[in-house]
Amino acid sequence: MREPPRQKWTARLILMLLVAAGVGWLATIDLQKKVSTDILDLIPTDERSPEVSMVRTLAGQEQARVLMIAVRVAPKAGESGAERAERGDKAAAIYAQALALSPSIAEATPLSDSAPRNALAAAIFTQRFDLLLPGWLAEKSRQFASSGSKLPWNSWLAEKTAADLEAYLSKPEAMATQDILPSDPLLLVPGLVGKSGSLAGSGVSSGHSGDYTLVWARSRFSPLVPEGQAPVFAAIDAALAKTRESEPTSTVKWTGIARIAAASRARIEHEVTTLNMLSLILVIAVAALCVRKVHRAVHLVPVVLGSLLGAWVATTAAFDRVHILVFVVGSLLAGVAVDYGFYIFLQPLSRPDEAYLERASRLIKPLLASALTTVIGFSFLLWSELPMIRQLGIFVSAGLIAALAAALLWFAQIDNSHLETRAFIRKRPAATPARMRAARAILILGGMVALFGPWKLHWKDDIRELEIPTPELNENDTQVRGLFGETDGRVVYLTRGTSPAEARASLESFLKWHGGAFPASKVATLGYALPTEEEWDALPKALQALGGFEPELRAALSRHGFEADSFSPFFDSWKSELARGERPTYAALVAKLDSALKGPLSSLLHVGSGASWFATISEQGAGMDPPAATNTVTDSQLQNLNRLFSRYRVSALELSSVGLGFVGASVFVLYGFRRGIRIFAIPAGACLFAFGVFGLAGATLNLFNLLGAFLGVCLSHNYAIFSAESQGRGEEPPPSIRMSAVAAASSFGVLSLSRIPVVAALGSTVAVIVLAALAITELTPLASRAESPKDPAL
Amino acid sequence: MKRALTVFLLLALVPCVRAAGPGEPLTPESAAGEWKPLLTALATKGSIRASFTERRYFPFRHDPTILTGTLRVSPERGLSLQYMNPEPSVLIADATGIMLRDASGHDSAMPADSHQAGAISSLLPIMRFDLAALFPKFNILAQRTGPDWRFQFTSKDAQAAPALGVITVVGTDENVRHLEFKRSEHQRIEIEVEDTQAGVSFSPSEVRQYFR
Repeated sequence: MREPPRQKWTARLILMLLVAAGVGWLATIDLQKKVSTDILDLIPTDERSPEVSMVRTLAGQEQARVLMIAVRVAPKAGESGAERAERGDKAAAIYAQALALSPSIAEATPLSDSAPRNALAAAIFTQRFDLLLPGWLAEKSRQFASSGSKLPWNSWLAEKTAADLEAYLSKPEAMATQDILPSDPLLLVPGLVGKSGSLAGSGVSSGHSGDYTLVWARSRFSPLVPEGQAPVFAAIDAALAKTRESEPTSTVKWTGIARIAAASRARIEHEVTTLNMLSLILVIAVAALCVRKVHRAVHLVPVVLGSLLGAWVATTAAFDRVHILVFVVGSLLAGVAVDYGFYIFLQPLSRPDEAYLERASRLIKPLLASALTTVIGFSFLLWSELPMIRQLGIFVSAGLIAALAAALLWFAQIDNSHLETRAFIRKRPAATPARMRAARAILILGGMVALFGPWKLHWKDDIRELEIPTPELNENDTQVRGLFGETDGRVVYLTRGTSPAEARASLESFLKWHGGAFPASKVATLGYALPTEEEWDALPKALQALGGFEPELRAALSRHGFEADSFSPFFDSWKSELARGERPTYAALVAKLDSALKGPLSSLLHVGSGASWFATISEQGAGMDPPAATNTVTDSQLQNLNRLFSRYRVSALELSSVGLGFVGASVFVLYGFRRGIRIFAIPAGACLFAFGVFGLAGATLNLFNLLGAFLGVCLSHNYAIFSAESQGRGEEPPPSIRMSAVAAASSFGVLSLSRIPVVAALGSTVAVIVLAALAITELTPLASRAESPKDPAL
Repeated sequence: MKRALTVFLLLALVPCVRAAGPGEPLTPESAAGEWKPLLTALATKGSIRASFTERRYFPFRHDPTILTGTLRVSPERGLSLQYMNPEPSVLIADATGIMLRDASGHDSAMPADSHQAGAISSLLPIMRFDLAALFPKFNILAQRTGPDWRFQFTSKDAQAAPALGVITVVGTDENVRHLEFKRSEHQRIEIEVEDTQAGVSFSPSEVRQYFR
């Protein structure tokens, strides 16, 4: 059948314009920047949960840029352990120096370098009256109040100070601090050291671990952007080469988010290419197998390509950054988009000379019904909080509209836009009583699975399933972090506030809670080196009340066996402190302390506009979480993000339920209640059957199974519509349904092979639903007593 | 007569002065020669358990602070000082570093570059008489009078030397009797070691309590 030239050229022109616009748009965007592999891009920037927003900010800050490097030199014959350690130190120093020369590295320092710790210790000692005295006075005041002593405050404090000092001298650490005691008989600094004892062993102060000498470094750029990956890897290799010039046997083990992120990106990119290609090949193979003139199946390719082009253009235009998982999952569009090609191309002609426009107008109702109901359903995902779900909603909706438009336009500009299917794809078994009973039994069995199986389902979301597991890198990461002292028996808490003052106040609440919840566990935090804002504001008044403290302390020191005059450095400073006029603001006090934090110590405190936090290290196993009022979370991003994804699953369930409600409603509007119920029963039954199968198999499902189910319902809904249309005309379901279902099942079956667990989950869910829907479509006519309808191809 | 008596007394005192003096430099050669039997005996004593009394002299205090406890040395696990009076605590020095364990069992590491960590770190190879570890770090003077001996260690590291001071180990036969860490006359630690038991074996609970 030859089509009118005007129709063909109009369709070609529109197609060319659309393709040129789409390709032109994609050519103008920077895909490296547009397409993200950052897992945090899956989380909304305005996430309402404070702990998640903190984790998000934290991961984007300096913490994520940290590189942990362990340098090892091979032993030499007859060499002592000390000599080898010395060579290790030398190698680590050369390595750190060479690494720091790279523009991609912000700083690099051997952990054995005590300069950062000394700088912090010096800063705290110099500012001890500002940083430590307010808290010390507040604590002593509480002790005085609870002591019930009749002594005046000054006398009690002096006696207590001298007694504490005497007791301190019998502690092992007294010999280490004896030089500063004449300047600090109040034990401000030794008290801080005592409280933060476990911090010293937290890996930040140790320069060695086993055979390794440790180097800490920070990259200049985020590990999730290309500038923070390849140049950093090159710098690490170059630093090793430099080190080997002096120590030829040097080797390094290192880890950092950049390394895992780069590997993940490479693997996902490979996955995208492979899955898309395989999916396309399978769809074409299904088509080629089922049609008489195989070469003509090539007309289905422009439909799939047009769909993907439309999806890419719409998604990249609508979002600043699009997560790569959207494109991975988007490869399923090949299996969905080809449906419209099948429905138009394989639709039997009503008469041999039927024109394309006539056939298209006959099909437009079911085509629009199936496409638009799916689009309506997926459009509800635009209300999701999760960016990736919104992106997926746009991708699928735009892809389906583009597929339908591409199919309508493509077949409008070719002659003979009908392709006959092979006989076997149209062949249907005769409805014998035995087959009818078998079909009924299968349907009843499926119904029981659908009824009882879903109750056995378990749901759990794990963000690790969003990435391709990299066991060797993860093992390396665990090993290196273990060398740096990050072990399971330690919990790191982060206490936040919108300002340092608020964070410090929350820290006070958290420390009280922790003392009660884990009385046997010591904690270490830099917060001990900073007063609360309340204590800071109270300092001038507290000092005024201590006017006669000096003579009282002198007398008390003498009573406890000390030479009071030896403490003249303290008394001189004390006099200056009492006479001090101006004091810095609390913000300035915090900023000064923050400026003293260099290298690995910078992770102990974060001061930023709108968000500040303190890190607290606790030597304990996992236990109960701090109450929300303490504004404190553990640094387990995994746990927080998993909770977040569980919350999003509930949100996605609500949205997809509403979406399905609208899909169902639109069917009732288009086909009336009775036919609508029969149409809607197929996708709903297939979905429940799939969940039943997963439930009986003991599978644990996640957010992506839910999304897969939603997509599967929308797809099988199309089959139900076309099946009902045929039934309305007294025909058997068209062969295009079988081909669509097989193509979709193949396409999603490919996804179920993905190494990304959530993609595999989505693929297997859709494949099971689609095949179940096909089975229901095939078995229902067989199971009914009605006479077998006529073959539409006949 | 008075002059002769004075000369006699001076001559009689010479051995005592020699015994209290710094002694001769100990080198790898001399350690492998005349000192070898003693050093080998000291280095191969195995595990040791002894009681100790520690006197800490501070420049700002009239009298020393006195602590008592039990010293344990294990060739595999390092050195442990179990303080019992006036406050119970344990100080452990081993290949990993220095660790303090308080009465409630909390462990905390001591910064490796602190003064005391330096002294305690030195104590481990000294108590083991691990000359391979000691020669690169210390200038050693040795002196022996009959069964009594004395070693004096001074750090070769000019920066660490003032903080460590002079470390002196005094003993009789195969037993260490006295240790001293002296930074100045008013700033020093003296440890008297008594009731030494060599070649002991530590029970599992003892290992758990007093070593890392």
